[in-house]
Amino acid sequence: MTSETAYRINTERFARETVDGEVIVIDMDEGNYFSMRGSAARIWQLIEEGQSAGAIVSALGASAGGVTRSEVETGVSALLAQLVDEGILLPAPASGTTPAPLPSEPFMTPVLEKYTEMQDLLTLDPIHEVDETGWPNRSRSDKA
Amino acid sequence: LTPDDFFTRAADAFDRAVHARGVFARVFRIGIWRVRICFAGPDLVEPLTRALDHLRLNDTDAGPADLTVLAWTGTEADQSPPEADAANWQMGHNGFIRSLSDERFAAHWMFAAGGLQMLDREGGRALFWLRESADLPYWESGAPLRFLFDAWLQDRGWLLVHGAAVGNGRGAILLVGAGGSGKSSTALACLSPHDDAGVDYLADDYVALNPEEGTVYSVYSSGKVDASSLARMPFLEPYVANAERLGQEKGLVFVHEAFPHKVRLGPLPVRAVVQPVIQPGAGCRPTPPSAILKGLAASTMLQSARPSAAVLTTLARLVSTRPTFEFNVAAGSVPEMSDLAALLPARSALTRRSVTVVVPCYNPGPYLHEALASICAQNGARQPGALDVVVVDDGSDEDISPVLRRFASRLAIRYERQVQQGPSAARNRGIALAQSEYIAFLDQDDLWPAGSLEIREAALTEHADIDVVHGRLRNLRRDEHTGATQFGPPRRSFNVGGMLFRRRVFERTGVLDERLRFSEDVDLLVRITEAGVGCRRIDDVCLYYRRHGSALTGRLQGGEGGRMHLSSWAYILKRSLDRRRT
Repeated sequence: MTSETAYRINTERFARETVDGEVIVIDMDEGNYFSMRGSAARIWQLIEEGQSAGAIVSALGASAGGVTRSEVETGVSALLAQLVDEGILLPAPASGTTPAPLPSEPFMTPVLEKYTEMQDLLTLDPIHEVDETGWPNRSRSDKA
Repeated sequence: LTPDDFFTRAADAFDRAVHARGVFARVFRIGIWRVRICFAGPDLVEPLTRALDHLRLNDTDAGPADLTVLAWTGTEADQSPPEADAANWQMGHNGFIRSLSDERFAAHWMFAAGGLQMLDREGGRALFWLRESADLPYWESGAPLRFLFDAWLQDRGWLLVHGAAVGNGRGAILLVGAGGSGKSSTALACLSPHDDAGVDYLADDYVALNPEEGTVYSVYSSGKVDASSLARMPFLEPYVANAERLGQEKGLVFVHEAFPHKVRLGPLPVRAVVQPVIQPGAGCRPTPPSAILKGLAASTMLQSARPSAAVLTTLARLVSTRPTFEFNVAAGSVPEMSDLAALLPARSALTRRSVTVVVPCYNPGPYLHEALASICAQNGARQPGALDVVVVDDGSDEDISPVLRRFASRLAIRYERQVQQGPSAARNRGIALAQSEYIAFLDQDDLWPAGSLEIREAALTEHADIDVVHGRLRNLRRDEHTGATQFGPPRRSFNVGGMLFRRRVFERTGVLDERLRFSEDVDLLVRITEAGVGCRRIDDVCLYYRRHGSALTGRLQGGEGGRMHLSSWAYILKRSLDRRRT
């Protein structure tokens, strides 16, 4: 991964929403879900904007005091690697926009928390298999 | 050409047809086995599966098939079986192809349709080939793949008995006799809206018998009805699939589509064998087994592609170990089902109501009647009061009391009305009013398949460590104008209507969250999982979930609605994490 690499979210498979500052990402195929808080949630916001890895590090470093650029760099690239590893992020061209300014907040090592205990439940209702018309979805379910 | 060579070459032709037209597949439960039907192209899918649809399994997770049927049409040289014409083969009786049958293979020519059915006993494979799908006669659509099922079941020690069957949760009555003796019309009479004998439909012509256990299983959901029966049973008329050809054909009704909550799948123990007789009078009269056996054996053997002495022995044993009756059906009248119901064991007296059914309502229109009728079709509802039904009216503008009054003699219904607060609040009111150990939910426009509640009850009763039973559901859509009914494949969903809960679950995890606009069922199940409550998944279809334009959830499945659902999931999971973090 270079500092120019940017990402897009694999929305075919993952649903995501930010609730009270916490990012929840749901893996609709596997039924796992992920949480990102604090600095990880801020990094996520920049990923959603289409910022490159380098731009994310700069934006984060500028908003956090008392931390070296290399600490931020290590934390960001570890999180990005994990997100890529889980299939949540796919490489994509950077948006080239200026990052929206982040509120000043201390930098904490970003963590991707993964939860598997609802797997049986979250894979239940295949609403992601139902097409826009909703009924009947023969074309897909019929193919052997 | 040996049978083996023929089968291989025909299967290769099927593969080429698949290559040209694409493959479609459906999985069904026949008896206790899984049968997968693979189609080359779509033309035979509906004609061959409509009568089996009530037995459909989830296509993807049904597990390996016990029998795989390759079904296709066409006469292109490289896509059809070699020498496919009866003139090329030595024929036996009833279309049996002697020159293509041996120890391993059994083959049958369909004279009327111009086609072939062939079973490979060792390979668990079969062929069904037709020149043209339009050639399939209506009776084949009513009882598709009959030769294959007959031969295949016989190999397993079972029989495809030529008979009709009706029953309830306590057993089935096998109706026998030659064609025209009144089997069909007797079986179909249980569908009458005026009938409250509490007897459901299994079959009108062929039924699968497990001789060892003495149980029967529905195979085809179709019913055939002639013009005079149709005149006596006008409630069938809107559902006749071949209405435009009634002059030349008997009317074909796909009972599962017309009366989804009245079809029993089995297994049900055979409690009596009854021969309808068209003669004046009414009621059942004991008759010697020998008299019954004559009709049953003759017609089963005649219909079977492989009649054998073993068939006769099996039927004789069945008939001699069951009470046997003649059932008088007066000409021109509708058979009286209560006379048949009396042959089934009475339900043991209940000391307390074991299930409370919560039915939330808001302007239900005509659907509530169907929903309540499907509650009646559950075994527990045979005596009013065996089920505790709580209808919670969430501030409807319409007066639903006339509908409730119509069920007064069959269901003990408590009616509660509240100022409109939403479906979760209505369900919670029902939970608060529940007097039973078990709680079930049924929405005003949904249906329960016959017997599905007792399957769930049995699972809870057998497993003391389980507090929630979770069945499958199938979407149901009925065209308001044509009455045509479509079912989606069985699937697992969050809908609480396909579940059964022990009441203590709600004491432990709390009730439904009335603040949620969407996914309150997901939220409940997340809390149940969080609390480590024992939950058992069963494969039986326990809910028909009606989809139509006006229902809130109907619009939420795809597109924008789907996204709203998912964002509510994130909110629910966030709250779950917060609970666990504190």
